[in-house]
Amino acid sequence: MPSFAEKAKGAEERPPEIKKARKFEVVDTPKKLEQMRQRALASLTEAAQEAVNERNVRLVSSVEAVGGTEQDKIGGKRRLRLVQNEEEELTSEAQKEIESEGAVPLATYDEQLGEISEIAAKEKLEKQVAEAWEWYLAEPGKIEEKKPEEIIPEKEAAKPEEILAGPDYNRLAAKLGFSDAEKLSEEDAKAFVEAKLKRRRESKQQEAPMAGRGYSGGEILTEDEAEKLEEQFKNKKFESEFKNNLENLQVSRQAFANLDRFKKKKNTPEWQAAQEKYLQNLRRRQNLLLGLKKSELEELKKDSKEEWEKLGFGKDLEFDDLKLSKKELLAKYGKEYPKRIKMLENGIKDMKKLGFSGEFDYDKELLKQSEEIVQATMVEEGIKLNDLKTKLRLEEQGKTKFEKLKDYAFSAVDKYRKLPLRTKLMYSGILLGVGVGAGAVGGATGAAMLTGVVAGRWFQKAFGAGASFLGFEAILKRAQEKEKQKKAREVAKNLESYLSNNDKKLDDKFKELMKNKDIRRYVLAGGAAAALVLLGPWVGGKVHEAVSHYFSGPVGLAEKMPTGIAKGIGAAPKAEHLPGVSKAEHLVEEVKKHGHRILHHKLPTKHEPYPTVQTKIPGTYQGRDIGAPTHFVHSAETPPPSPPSAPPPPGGPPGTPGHPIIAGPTAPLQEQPTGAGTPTQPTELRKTPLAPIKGHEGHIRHPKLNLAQQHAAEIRAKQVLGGQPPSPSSGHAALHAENVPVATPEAAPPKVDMTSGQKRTVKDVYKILRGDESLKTKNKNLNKILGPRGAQNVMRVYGKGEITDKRIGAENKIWRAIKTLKKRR
Amino acid sequence: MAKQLTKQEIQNKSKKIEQIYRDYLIKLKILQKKQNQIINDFVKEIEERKIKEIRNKL
Repeated sequence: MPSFAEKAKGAEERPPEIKKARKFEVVDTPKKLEQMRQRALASLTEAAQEAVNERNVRLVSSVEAVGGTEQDKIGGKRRLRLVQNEEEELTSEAQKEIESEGAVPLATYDEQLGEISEIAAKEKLEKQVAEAWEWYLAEPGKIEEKKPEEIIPEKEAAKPEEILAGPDYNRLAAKLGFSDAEKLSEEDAKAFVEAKLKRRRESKQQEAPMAGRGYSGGEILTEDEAEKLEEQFKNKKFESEFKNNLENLQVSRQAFANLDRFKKKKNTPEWQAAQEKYLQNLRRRQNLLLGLKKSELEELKKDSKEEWEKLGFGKDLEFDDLKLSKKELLAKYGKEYPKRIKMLENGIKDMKKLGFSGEFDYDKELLKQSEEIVQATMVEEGIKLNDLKTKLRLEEQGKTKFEKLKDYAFSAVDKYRKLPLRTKLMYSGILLGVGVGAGAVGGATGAAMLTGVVAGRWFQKAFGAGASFLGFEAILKRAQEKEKQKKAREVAKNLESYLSNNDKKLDDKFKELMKNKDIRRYVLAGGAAAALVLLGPWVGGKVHEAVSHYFSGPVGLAEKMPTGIAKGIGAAPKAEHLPGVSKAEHLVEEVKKHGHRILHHKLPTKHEPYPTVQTKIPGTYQGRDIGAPTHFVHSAETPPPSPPSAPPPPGGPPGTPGHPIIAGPTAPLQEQPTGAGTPTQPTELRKTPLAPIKGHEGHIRHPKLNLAQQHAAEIRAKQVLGGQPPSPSSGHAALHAENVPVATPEAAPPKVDMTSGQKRTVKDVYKILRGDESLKTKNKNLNKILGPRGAQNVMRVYGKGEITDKRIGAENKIWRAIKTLKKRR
Repeated sequence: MAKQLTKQEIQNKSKKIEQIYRDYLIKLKILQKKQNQIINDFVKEIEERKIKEIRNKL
């Protein structure tokens, strides 16, 4: 203890700033250090609590602003758990570090109070000392009256030396329950105290009064939970519990305060306006995703960030973060959108042009809705939704979807068949164009047109078949005129690209083309070609090849066409497996029939047209047109009904000249036409048994003979068999009987016994028809030979183009015409 | 008995406490940013989900 003299001397030397140091601006004493440490710890806790509160409020308000549910709030809490743990760890570490730097460790609350009382005692002492020094300095004469001992505090008060020396860990350890604490070393005592205090702190946190009541420690406090707690607190129900945990109480109060602020702000008109604006923007973004209009897109572009900030977003609640980036949005959808809408609009225009909306009375409303949907939403969604609506409507009407669609397809195919040719081609070309060739949008438009995917496929089949039929007929009928129609041929070729590109000028092009009669023929051919090309996988690529090859010459057509037709038509019978396609099948049958006629007409002499027959399954339809007379073959189980004595035809096929069966004196060979004729059969086909023909029951038809030829063969068989009536297999038997001359297909006409006069007549008629005279003169000359009705009959056949130069069977037709005339007479 | 601290030691300790506290605040701020990002992402997810729901309803 310094003497008064020394103190007095020191007091004189003390600078006047010493008083300011009492304001703890400079931490230079253990007491100040302890105060600072406590303050730092308190601030640290406060910052941690603020962070928790902010997190709660931010999460709750953000989720609510976008219309999230309570479940979303819980989900958000889970997401934030990681951050929460990190935060707690950070706080804990900082606390430990601050504690380790302090002179006095963080003790329990009571102990802390005890420490504070010691500090207070020391402060009191210092104050008394200071006062004593003031008194001494002010009134030096009275120093002795007041002895320094009198101002020394009570004995119980902690000694300043002890306080400055730091805590007595041994004493604290004894207080905390260590029995022989005095025997512990200082380090061990410190470790024990710290461990004990830590454990106690942890247990206190676990026993926090709000734990298990919606809020515990760092968990997110929802608005509802906070309100509940607030109510509880107001009722002082848990006041006593709160008192025991100042920390949690403070947290709750802070949370309540924040919530109050939030609520107050929420009720202001600015807030509501901002909220409304935000929701509007949200809706607009939704609309954009669903197909926003152009004008709305422009409007969206106008919005600037400043405008949003004026409304308060991006500051307090940072709604700016919730917004999608407009640039990104526009980059993603802005470019695609106008293109998509334009394509859809074009598709809908096509629909309207075609009159689909008025044509089908099935459900106009559905069509209208589908238009809207296609315009407003993604294409796929439109189809799905439309499909769903169709299903619901049909269920309401008590019919299943399938049945209704079947009926629908029936009626629509009927309607289609009654349409004029031009419209048919338009439909088939455009439908196939949009449905098959023009990609996703076209396909969707096609589907939307028909308001049903299943029905759409049936239509495609029916339309495609119709297009094939009409087109091929037109091609082949007008084949002879092709050289005169170069221009039309080019247009027809171009039409293919128009169709495949779903060109909107198609309609105009059609109108223009239809004005010219000659061009129209080739347009029809071109339309069919395009339609077949667009059919793609359904018909097969060879059809395209065949059709395009046609333009290079009839020989090429003959080479390519059979396979093409076989493939094109061969796909159609698959429709038999679909219920309700019989009417569509009718169209296919037409194609088969006419395809045969024309094909037969165009085949060259030396040619093997059906190389694939060998590989086909016996007894089934082989996909060839009905007129190509080998497409029905016997199955292995049904042997040919030929007599056992009849050996198989040796040598060449039955239709080959010089065949031993058919060659005979009574079957003189007719003039062999050049450049055209019935095709020869491949070797495998020669052994093919004969099969009954549909619609000609009771007759066995030879694959190389037409009905007239067969009839002649039957008569011959009758003669050979001795006047017996022809049995169902007699014709066949006759053909295969030994030494029975049968006419070859090439020599088919003279199957009827013709007198020399008759032969002369035929030759005369032929001569007249081959002449260069006008039709009128020809008719007049024929009239002289055959009479008016005979001439009329022959001219009718000739006028159809069936009697031409080098035409097989022309003589036969003429003879039949004469024969008919004779019978009538 | 603990050793008595000198003035310099006390001042050093006080500076260190101050530094710890400042560091803590900085780290807390970083964590807050991270937390905000998580909340924003989460809310965006909710928003997208809502948009999807509306689109499906149409």
